[in-house]
Amino acid sequence: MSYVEIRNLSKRFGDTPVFESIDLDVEKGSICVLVGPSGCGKTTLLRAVAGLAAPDQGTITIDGKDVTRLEAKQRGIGMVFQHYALFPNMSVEQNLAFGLEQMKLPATIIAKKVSRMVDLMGLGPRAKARPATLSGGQKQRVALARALVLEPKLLLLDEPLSALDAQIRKRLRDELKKLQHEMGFTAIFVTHDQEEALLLGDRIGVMQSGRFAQVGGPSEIYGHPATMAVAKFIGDFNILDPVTIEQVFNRKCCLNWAVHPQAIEIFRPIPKPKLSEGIYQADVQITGVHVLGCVLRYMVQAKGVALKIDALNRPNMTPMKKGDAARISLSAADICELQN
Amino acid sequence: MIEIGRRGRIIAWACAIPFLAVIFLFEVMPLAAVLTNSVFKEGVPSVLNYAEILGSRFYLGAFRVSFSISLLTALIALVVAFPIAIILRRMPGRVQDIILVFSNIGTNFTGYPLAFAFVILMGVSGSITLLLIEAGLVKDFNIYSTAGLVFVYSYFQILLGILLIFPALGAITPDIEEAAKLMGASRWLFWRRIGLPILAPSLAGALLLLFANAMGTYATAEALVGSGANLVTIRIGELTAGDVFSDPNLADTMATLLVIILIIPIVAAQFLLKPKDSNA
Ligand SMILES: Nc1ncnc2c1ncn2[C@@H]1O[C@H](COP(=O)(O)OP(=O)(O)OP(=O)(O)O)[C@@H](O)[C@H]1O
Ligand SMILES: [Mg+2]
Repeated sequence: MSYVEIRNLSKRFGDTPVFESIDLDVEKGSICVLVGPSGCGKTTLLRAVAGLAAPDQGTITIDGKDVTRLEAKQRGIGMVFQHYALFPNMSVEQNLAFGLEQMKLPATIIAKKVSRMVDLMGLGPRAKARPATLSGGQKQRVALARALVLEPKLLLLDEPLSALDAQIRKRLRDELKKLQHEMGFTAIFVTHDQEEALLLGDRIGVMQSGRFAQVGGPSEIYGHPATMAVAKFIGDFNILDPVTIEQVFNRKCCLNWAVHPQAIEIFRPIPKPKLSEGIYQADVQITGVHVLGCVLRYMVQAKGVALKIDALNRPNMTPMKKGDAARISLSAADICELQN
Repeated sequence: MIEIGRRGRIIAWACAIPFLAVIFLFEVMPLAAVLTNSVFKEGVPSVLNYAEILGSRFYLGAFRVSFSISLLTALIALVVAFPIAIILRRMPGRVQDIILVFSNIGTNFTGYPLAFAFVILMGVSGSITLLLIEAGLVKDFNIYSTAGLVFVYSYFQILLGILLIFPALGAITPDIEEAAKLMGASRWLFWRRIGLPILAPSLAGALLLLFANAMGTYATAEALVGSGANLVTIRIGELTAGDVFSDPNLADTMATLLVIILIIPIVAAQFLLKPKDSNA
């Protein structure tokens, strides 16, 4: 039995279903990342788990306790919102203390917990400041601290980093990962960013119009996307339909392929290629070469089909040039066949 | 301030000049004239006008009645409009629009038409008055009294209150409310610890504007009770244009005192409501 169990959960607004019969498991001390296109129901799912929106059907169990019918405040859930949702009339410390005060803890214990959390999050110099005077990154740190100081059973984060600029976003993402290792909290984290998802998620659920297209670990999602939606989310795949596959590799199959750019080998054409079982080869024309740091990205055409190929950019190597003829090779094991 | 070039600055000033001219002609000039007139009696500078008003139980009474009615109706409007505005926030956008348009028309639909409407409905033989008497809820109700004025004022004050408070509620986003809810705060505690403190400056500002709005109301009161009501605006009107009591200098003195009464709370509020930054 998992720490958080969502079973058969459905929610509709009027006649339009948002999600239907969703199942999700989150293990204790892990981060489950939810990704998916806008409007697919991620926020609604979080709100149902938090008790802010009542599901029409199904159960939510946290730590062995069915919380489906419990009031929001009795579920022991902390939430971090995209736009911080700090209390503007209170200082950083007061924001952190607010939830503890509702637990009717003695003032000395509240003060101790707050100051420990303020230190942990590096908010010391701003402890007495009002939210309006903080930067976006600081605000979100306060929001995170405000949720964590209550030691919630489950932390829900709805695109907490998307309002921040790229640099702060990366920093806060790494801090969050570190914090999670240290404190071991359990979280469900919603994002649109694949890098964020792969980095933070112990498990990743890719949602597609109200259901999970795939749930799995980051290497599974990255290495073996199950559907087109998942492959599209991970991005950067070569996606080939059966007609194209036959055209380029002379193979018959009935599913789409997703192939990582780095799974394809590219080399100078050799007179007599030896063909072996499970290796697909094709002649190509190089149409572009881009240096992306440690990676060389070749853009090639194979019988009129555009493919992208990544090769390691070794020092002292002479890369092939635009206009060169080349040969590519692909191992069957590196092909992800996409359902539907 | 936005960075603009020299040319842009000249154009900006050129565009602002007509506006500044209007302010000067229709605000600064009249105010200066009123002030000047107030310190002249029969062509000679004196403070006799002020002495006359401050020494007259009649004129001081006018200030007292105006002040009380204004404060009372401003408070009534705030207390009634606040929950209405909160409920309105939770309504679909179309309902919000309709009610806001209705309030907007209502607040401007004052003076004779409003007084007439109230007389028909709630006058001595008004339909609602008769209904209430029939139902045994009231013995009699006289709209041509101070209580009647409070009643009619409250109507447009409440509508103005809704218009003033509704936009301010935007500062309380749903996620702030939900964050508090998840931390165990009841609805009541949320409003006491978070909602009201956030809104306090806006509510104080609204109260002030409502008070000023009532203090300055003339046409509605004049239409309803004529010179029978001892209000500052009615006394000023009488002293300015009346045929029996005409004394424009005295009218300007009352107007000056009225302006002072309105300025004091505005300045005080600015002073009190300056955000206290506890940021060390
Ligand atoms: N209160 C509501 N009433 C009616 N429909 C709603 C309500 N809240 C959400 N929806 C609808 O439910 C669907 C899912 O919305 P939700 O906010 O969960 O999407 P999301 O996955 O979080 O999207 P995003 O990535 O843009 O945040 C949307 O089609 C939305 O229009
Ligand atoms: Mg969302």
